[in-house]
Amino acid sequence: MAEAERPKLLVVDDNESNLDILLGLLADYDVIVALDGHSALDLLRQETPDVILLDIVMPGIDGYEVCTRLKAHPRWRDIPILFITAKTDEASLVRAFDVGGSDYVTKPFRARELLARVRIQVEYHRAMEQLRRMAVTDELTGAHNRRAFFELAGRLFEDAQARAEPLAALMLDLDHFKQINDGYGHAVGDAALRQFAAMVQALLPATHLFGRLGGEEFALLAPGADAQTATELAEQLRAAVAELALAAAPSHLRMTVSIGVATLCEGAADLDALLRQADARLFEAKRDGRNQVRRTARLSTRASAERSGGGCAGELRP
Amino acid sequence: MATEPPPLPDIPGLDTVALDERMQGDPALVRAVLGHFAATQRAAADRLPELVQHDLPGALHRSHDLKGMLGNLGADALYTQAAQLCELLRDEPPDVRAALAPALQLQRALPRLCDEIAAALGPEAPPTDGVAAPLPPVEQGAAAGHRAAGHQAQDPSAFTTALTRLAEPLRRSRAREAKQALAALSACAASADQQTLVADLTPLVTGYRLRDALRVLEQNCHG
Repeated sequence: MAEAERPKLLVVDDNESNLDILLGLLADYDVIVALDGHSALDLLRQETPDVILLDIVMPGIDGYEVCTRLKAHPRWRDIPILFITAKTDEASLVRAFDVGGSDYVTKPFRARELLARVRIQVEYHRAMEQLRRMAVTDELTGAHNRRAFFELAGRLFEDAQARAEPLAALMLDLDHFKQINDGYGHAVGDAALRQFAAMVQALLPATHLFGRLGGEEFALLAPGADAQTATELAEQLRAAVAELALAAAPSHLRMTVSIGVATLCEGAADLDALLRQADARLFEAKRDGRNQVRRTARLSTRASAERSGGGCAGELRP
Repeated sequence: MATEPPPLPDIPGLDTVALDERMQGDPALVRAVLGHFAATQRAAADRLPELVQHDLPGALHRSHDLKGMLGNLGADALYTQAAQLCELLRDEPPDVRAALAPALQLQRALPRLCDEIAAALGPEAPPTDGVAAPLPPVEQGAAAGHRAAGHQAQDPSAFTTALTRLAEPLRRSRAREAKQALAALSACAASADQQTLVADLTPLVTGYRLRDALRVLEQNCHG
């Protein structure tokens, strides 16, 4: 099995002999080892395992406390925890499930039983991850779907507002897309959408949020971007789309995009208002001939946009 | 080519059939696990009676640890003693007088079990002083292969390369890969300094103290 496909386990146990046995038994897995709870929590900052095998009685913080902390953390709460312990009494077992454990195996364990339980937890975790991905992803393009976009965008808007930091919204719409679908078929249209989304995502930093709102309409939120940065980004995207050679289409076929830009500094009270502003500018870009970026109600820009200072104080002026 | 290790003789106090089943019938792994146990756990119950008398939480922690380890290993009689000790220490109030008997028994019997295991493993068994814990059998084979080839030991850059290769799994907390890299490092340790470094790293890597091992390695590189 390729390294990337191998399920990853974190084994937390303070006894070397137990680790020797577990490491030997779990030879088909990519295994990370921690000797105590604090080390395990440290490791989880860098690694996300499929399943955690967790001893209970350990120096420092015990397995219950480790589990409690993991279940309180949004990044770790969905990782199944399989307690593996010499505590055989019912109260310990019940407590393990109360703090969020997914399964409980006692030492001495039976090898095949342990392997079966680990496998089931790995499969469960992977299935849940896939469902989570599907729930937030647009199936065709791989961008965030509409629901996920608005949910995440709401948080970005609130964060930017609370910290008084710049935030820009871009609304993007592919020009004359219906003609591609009608003229060359939906397969070519779908391929074009996929290619467009892949290209945009490749150009964006990880902090930015990109989603498909429907059809050929997309939205982008750029935290930290003032009007100048957002306009430059929009122009970069516009130019890149115009250069894009559509893989599944005749060589002469080109695609263009119109983009409307709005920034939080212009006074939008909420996310809807910000997106409405960007959408209104997108409409103007369309009306004024398409394949352009519109950043205010009255001025469209090209690559060499006029510039002033940064942040809200330096918003581009019409 | 690695040869199949000879079958283990009966070891008094140890259910080797259960351990073999737990290790999915891998005799080399069984030997490696037993060798490491004998090398590192001889003194694990030494302070148990003292803890029972003066530090009940410490005694409970130790006896619980022994219970899990001895159970997994198939040391059934000692596992029963450790389990009984745990029960007595968990009683409200704990029965210290009654708990002393299994504690003393574990204190006496654990070194004997380690000796029996070391004797059963034969002359290639690691010393029981806890310093040189065994590498897994595959890695031992690989290390022997490297030594037999000889060329790595004479290449001055080979040791440096092997050190770099060891650093990676140490950083990523991958014990299995770290043991393999350590075996390769051991195979090309030619000078006394290099062998000393390997000797310093071995108990840390086989004892899963990977961050400590990384610290030693980095100090060596920067020193």
